[in-house]
Amino acid sequence: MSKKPGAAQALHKVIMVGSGGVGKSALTLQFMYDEFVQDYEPTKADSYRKKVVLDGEEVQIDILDTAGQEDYAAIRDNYFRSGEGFLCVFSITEDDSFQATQEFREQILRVKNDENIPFLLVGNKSDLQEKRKVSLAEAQGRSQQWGVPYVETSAKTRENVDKVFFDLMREIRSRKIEDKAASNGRGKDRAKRKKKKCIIL
Amino acid sequence: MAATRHTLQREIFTVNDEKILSICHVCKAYKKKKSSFLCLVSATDTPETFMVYQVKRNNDKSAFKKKQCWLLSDIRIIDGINADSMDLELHIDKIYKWSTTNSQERRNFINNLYTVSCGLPQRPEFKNIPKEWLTAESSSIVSNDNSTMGYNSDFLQSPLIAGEYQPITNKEATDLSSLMENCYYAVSNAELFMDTLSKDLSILDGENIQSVLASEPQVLQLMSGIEAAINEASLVEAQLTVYDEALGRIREAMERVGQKNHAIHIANRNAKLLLEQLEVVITQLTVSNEHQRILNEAELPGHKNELIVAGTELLKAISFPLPLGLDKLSAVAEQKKRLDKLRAKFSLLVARHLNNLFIHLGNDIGETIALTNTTVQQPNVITSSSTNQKSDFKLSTHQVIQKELEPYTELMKLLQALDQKAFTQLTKVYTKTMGSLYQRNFKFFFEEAKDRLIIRRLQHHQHHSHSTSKSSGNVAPKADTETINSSSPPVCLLSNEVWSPQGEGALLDSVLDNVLSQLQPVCLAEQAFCITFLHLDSFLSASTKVNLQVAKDESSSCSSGNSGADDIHGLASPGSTNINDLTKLERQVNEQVRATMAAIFPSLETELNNLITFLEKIDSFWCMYVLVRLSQHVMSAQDTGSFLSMTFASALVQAKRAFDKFMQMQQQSVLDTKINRRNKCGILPYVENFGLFAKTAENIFKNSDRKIDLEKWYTKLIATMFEAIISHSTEHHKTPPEVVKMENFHHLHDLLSQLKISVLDHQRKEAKQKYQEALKAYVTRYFGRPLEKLNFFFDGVQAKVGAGVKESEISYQMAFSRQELRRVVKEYPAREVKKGLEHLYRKVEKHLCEEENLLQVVWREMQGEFIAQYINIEELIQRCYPDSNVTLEFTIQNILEFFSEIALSH
Ligand SMILES: Nc1nc2c(ncn2[C@@H]2O[C@H](COP(=O)(O)OP(=O)(O)OP(=O)(O)O)[C@@H](O)[C@H]2O)c(=O)[nH]1
Ligand SMILES: [Mg+2]
Repeated sequence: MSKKPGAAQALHKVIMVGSGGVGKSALTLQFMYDEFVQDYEPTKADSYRKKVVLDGEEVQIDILDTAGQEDYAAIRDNYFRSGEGFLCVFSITEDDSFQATQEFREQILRVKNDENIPFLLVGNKSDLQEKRKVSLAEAQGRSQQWGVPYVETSAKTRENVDKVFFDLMREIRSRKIEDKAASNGRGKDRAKRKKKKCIIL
Repeated sequence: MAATRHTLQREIFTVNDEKILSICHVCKAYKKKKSSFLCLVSATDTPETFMVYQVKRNNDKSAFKKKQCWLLSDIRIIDGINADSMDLELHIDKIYKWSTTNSQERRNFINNLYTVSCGLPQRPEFKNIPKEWLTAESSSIVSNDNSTMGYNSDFLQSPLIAGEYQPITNKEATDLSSLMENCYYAVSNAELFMDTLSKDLSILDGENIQSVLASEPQVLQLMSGIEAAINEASLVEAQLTVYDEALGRIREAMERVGQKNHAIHIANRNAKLLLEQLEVVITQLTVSNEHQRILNEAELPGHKNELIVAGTELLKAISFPLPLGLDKLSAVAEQKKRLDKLRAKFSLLVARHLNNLFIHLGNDIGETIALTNTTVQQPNVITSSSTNQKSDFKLSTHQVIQKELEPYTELMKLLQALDQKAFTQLTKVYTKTMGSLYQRNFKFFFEEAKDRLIIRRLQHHQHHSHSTSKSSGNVAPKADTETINSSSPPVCLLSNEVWSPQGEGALLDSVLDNVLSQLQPVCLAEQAFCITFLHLDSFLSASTKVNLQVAKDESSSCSSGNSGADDIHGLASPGSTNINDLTKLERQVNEQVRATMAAIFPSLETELNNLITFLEKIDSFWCMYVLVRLSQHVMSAQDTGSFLSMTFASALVQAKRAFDKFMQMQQQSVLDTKINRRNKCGILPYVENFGLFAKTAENIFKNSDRKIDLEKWYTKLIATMFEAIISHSTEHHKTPPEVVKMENFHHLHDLLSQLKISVLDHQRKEAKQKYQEALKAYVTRYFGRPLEKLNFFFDGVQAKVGAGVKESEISYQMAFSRQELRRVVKEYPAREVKKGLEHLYRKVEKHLCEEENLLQVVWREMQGEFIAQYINIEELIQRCYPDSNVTLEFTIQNILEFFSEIALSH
């Protein structure tokens, strides 16, 4: 199987989560194909893959763009499980979508059972400042509480689009390096420790 | 009337010593009642004073009254309107219009006015009055009753005045009374008085006769005087006739003299013309001794300029258009013969020298140029701005040769004019020697080009540290060429498992560009040189050349196409019609130029084609590079009809064919793809390879006007791939066709989104749609698996309902009784369901390939469908078996827990 010369190439799996219409697909398409789609077409689930150069290293990124509306949250469990990092998106023009991030965060933590899972809180539609409903302070407050970075993006102007994906990939990468080191040394201990912590919470 | 006249005279005129001469009864025009009288009156005291009075009577009984009075001489016009009219107009201070009551009276009045006015210095003009009225004789009408009064001058003066009665004036009365006094006896003795009177009368008669007789000799004298005058006149006349005759003879003589004079004049002029012509002929046919000497003794190359001058003279003499008939003159014929001899001398001298020169240049100088050029940089060669220095090899130019020959241009022209045959022969020698020289040059040049390609390739592929010294380049690559030739051509097909296009696209491109851009100046320079040196444009006169240039400039803006490459990119519109004739002429010239160029560059086309064929071994995408580069050079060529452009154009046609063949091969390879035998089908090779293929092609064709050719093929290829994906989807023995379609269309959609090839936008959307269809088909086909029997049962229920069975009566059907329902439901306890779902998940995992990463997408779809199915079954139970108390043995909550558990177990 010499088909993939970069078989050893790193692959980072990113999941887009957030309420419907906040711009998950718009961010993904902007990142993938440099295009902005004006029309809103609700997503069920879409998978993308791209080769990028991350800090000089060629890596692959898998993006799973998910549905904002889902009748049964449990349906998400499976793909949350498969994700290595999450872009949790809300629209700064819609408070509900900001509130919904709380639920997404909880579900991810539950499924991944990992407090330190790579995770970015993303406030999208930053080009629509005049319609802003969620203040910067409010969003930053929540991200600090969770201990994750907060970035505001615009899928329309491409502002910070690359940044959120690359920042997340860096986190995923460093997590993988950590895990590797851990599994080489006192890996089992560490895993246990994490689990315990979770249970305490 | 007479009474009225009498009354008027008595009542109003006599008082003033005036006498009525004529009277006319008139009315104011159109007012019949206001009648009045116009009276022509003479004053008795002052002679020759005539007046016209208008006299009126206010009513019948009252007295007459003078109303107006004018001097006759004050009347400007008397207008009778016409002969039959009764009207009368007098133009004085204004126009007075009257109409008369009696036409005779009117006529008399007018006639009298005329007669009286005749004596006036200023008289009125008579208008519209018949001529016969205006004569003095017409006075015959006038009564002469008063002429009896005889002697009175007053009466004599106006004997014609109309009127039957004239009263005796005072003077008449005194005259008469004095007469009567003398003849106091008259009363007493009338007889005596009569006698006295008649005696007086006869005395008077006698006196009269006597005076008549006395005048006779005077008459006679007068007659003789007249006779003398007549005689004198006839004498003069006779003399005049004599003179006339004399003059007549002189005129004839003069005429004759004139004719003679004219003839002499003509003769003179003819003689002068003849002389002039002779002089012209002689001077024109004469070549000066000095020039003759040069023509006889000149040597080349030393006496080039003198020879040109002499040759021009000779040509002028030879080509002088002799006036008709003059060539029959033996002197002229003789001179012609002499000129012919000179011509032969000139021709021999020039032709021999140039012949030797051509051969010498072809052999000796050409040799050295060819040899030195490959190593020595020619400073005056236009170097292409190729970035790759290593491939910057040179094609030697003929600048040295052309410089050497240029001074002979004028002599060539003379030779052509003087000796067409020798000129043609010489042209042949030139083309032949230069042809073989160019052939040699091209051989070196193209060999060099190939060497560049091989050396790099060998270095690249065999990691062979080849000596790159150029001197060895001529020998060493021979062997390498063999290896290259024998090595497999690097055609890379879309169907290949691994996309590994071989070759050196950039190198190929730069070498090709270098070759093409070097050929251009060399060929164009040679062409330009030949046109002037061999006078290929000689049958275009200078003026038409100018026109041509103008026309060309005009049309060049609109026609950018190349007529030489018609069959690949439509004929350029041939400009406006008014330059058609010119272009026809130009075409003729072009044809001649092209033919000459073809003779001078006999090997160019073959060499170029060989090189292009050779390129096939250098890079998988060779034909794309060639197509783009050649097309660019053909397009940029200013001289579209030139030999080089046409050679390029025909090479371009070849390249286009090769390109089409290449794409056809790719297309065929897609159809011929063999499906792998591995566990999963995954992404088909052509789908996988298309990304890199298109990226490479896009890169080669970017900015090229050939892009449309590529785009046409894109659509064909994608259409073929769509077909192939569908047909190949059924060929894999492990992966279901839906999965093959789903994954490949998903991949293709992703590729097309990345490539953003606008002509494929429609296909991009189509790929997405096909992907979604396949996903749906896949999920539909597999979601039922875990609950197969349940599904089967309720499909039956649904069919019955659809066929018209009432929902409440379904349970009475044998196959769908409550019993049956319970049995089927029992078969799916929660435990079984979970097992089924887990089994399904594993199966899906097995079908899908890792690269396309669609597991989560598919699984999410399957979960959704499963839940929907569950809800549907629950609903059917509620509706068709309402009181049965049967429920499925698992709840939605169970299902969601199963999903979470499946998720956590991975
Ligand atoms: N002005 C502006 N509009 C945006 C931006 N991002 C998304 N939109 C618009 O918001 C609408 C929804 O965007 P999507 O990307 O489809 O939203 P989504 O999060 O994928 O929605 P679901 O697929 O239903 O979960 C679209 O009409 C987008 O054009 C942004 O940054 N600025
Ligand atoms: Mg979406």
